[in-house]
Amino acid sequence: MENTEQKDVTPEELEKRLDEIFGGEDSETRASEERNQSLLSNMDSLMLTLDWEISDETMGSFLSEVASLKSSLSQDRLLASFLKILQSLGKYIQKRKGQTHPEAFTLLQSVYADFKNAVESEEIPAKQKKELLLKDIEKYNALKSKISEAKSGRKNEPEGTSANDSGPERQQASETTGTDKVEASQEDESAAKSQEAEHAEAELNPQSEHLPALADKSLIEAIEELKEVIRDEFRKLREDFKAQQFEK
Amino acid sequence: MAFIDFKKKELQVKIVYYGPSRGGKTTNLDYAYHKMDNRLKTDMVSIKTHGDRTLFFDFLPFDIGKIMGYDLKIMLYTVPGQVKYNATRKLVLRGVDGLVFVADAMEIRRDYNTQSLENLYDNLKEYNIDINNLPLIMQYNKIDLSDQGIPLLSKETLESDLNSELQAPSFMASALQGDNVIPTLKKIISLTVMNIKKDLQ
Repeated sequence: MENTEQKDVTPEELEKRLDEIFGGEDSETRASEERNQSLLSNMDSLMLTLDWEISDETMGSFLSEVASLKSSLSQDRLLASFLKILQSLGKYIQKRKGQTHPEAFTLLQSVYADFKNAVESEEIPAKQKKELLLKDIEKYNALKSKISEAKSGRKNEPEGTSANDSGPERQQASETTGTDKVEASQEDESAAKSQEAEHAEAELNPQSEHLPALADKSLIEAIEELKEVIRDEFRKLREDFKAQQFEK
Repeated sequence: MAFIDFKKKELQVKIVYYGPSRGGKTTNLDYAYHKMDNRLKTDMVSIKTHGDRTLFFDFLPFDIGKIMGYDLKIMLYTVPGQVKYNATRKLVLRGVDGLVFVADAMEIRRDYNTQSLENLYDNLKEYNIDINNLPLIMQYNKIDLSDQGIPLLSKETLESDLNSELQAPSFMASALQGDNVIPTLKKIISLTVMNIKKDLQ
């Protein structure tokens, strides 16, 4: 590294420098990573598949892979606990499919990311792994409460109201309240994302400090595109929300 | 041409990973980040949707030495692959010094590769950049899927679809398992830095 600071890099020095940056792990670490990679390689592929498609087949494969990992890692209580959460979420998604609470997918991804970290990163101390698990349990419980609150909300309709007259008006009112909340948070999120896009522009194109950023056509188009994406996402959320309301 | 920060005496080299949606661009950067020596590790920035798709870009910067007396800073970016994010892709391409085109080797994704390459041509044209003058690597990703019986395109087919005119160096790769991820990265850095050095001289 010293010599590169004194003179220009030659192709050989560049190669050496890149080896230093990307080839620095010792053989033991590499062997351990390879072991863990092969342990989780099926699961990695399944997680990508779930991102793309939720069906009986994909959920079945996911649950059977979780079961197989549970048996391989049964000695490690901490890892087994991560797997229990994944199994429980998997069963819920398998049962509810399109009606699944949207946060369940995000939670599934984040619990798996933490589990993978706990399996692969030997540098993470046990205490930190436990903290990750506790956070995931907390998130899992929060999701459970949200789902059961939604269910009890359905059941707690005023007594003496017939099924027929309880319908459209109340349902509409409930939808409106939900939609309002969604729209309010949509505005907040849109503003945050627009800000993000502005920060992104600064980081993407350091040269742009010499350009009038707001006049940049590409940036404006990108922000518009981003807004449209956010609108789309919320439109889908609203549809999910309505579908859930109707189901109730 | 790379951006030069005269105040910091720093040369910023922008390398962009381009390609169709779900082709493995972010996975390439994730793997490279994971493999970086801990002492030299920098932060990787990712902006994703709740479905874990790249919303704006991924960004991984690191230093690699000096050239013509300037500190060389490599900045790796990915673009969002989904068709609807074209304005973002265009924006990320601005000031690009080197490109890795990450194609999806799955048979069913063949058309997406060619569409994405055409989109790359169009977007570069808007910046008056001739792709033939830009350091470029072709990476044919997801070769690990053949183990699961998923039909893949042969290297010959991929080369004929995407690389017959460009004749760029190419790698068969598995970003998920790390096969040829680092060789791809080393090659594009090497080509780009030497190209910049030639321009500066």
